[in-house]
Amino acid sequence: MENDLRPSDGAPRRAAALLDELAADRTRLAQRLAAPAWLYPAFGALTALYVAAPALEPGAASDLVTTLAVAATLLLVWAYPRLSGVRVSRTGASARLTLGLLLGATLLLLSTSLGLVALGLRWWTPLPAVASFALTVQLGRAFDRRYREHVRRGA
Amino acid sequence: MALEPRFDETIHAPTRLRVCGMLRPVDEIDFAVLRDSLGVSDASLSKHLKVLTEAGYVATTKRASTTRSDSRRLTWVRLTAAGRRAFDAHVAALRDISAGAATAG
Repeated sequence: MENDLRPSDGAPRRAAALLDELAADRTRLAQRLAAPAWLYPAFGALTALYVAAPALEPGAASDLVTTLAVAATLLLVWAYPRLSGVRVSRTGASARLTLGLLLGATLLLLSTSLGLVALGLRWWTPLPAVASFALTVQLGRAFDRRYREHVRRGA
Repeated sequence: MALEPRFDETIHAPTRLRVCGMLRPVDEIDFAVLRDSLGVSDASLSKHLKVLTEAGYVATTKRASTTRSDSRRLTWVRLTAAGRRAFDAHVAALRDISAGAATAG
């Protein structure tokens, strides 16, 4: 057997080489998991739509935009691992914290948007929507880097 | 609880060790992605997966594809809980050996 590790002078060196090969495989896997350039801008556009929805007249149109934005986000979250061929749920504490920050910031910006509408400043709602897009892209990419680093180190 | 190093002959074959190493940090991987990442043939990967499956270390699931227009289903591969434990113990044994403290196996 080519990687025979029965006690001998060379066994520690061969074991170290196998561990290095495992680490190299994890590095390649982490590189492969890098999201395509369109993914986080797509999430950003959907969260911006969600945050801007209160600017529409209350009723069917606003509800429809909110429902579509949430449904499309969930669809993307569901479909992307199936398209990439790798499913990862253990993303690490750092990546989870980043995702939590993103969710919190999105809710804060939605509240800002609702507040602006309540104050009669409907035309200012694009501001939190644009901020939501930028935050989603930045924090989404940070999440991507952090969870891939978690994979590279081995969960 | 500290992990007990344990050398595992089933996992130790080079391709099987790499298969387990690729599966360990993820939930599951599509067969084709695993094959391409390891640079092995379909037949070779199938043979090694069969050994790992029979040992109870790997499980496979067939699911419809979101991208294929035909009816063929994709095979997803994952480590079982027993597979994770065996792989972790084997890696711990390799670390012991690489540190010069060969473990009995």
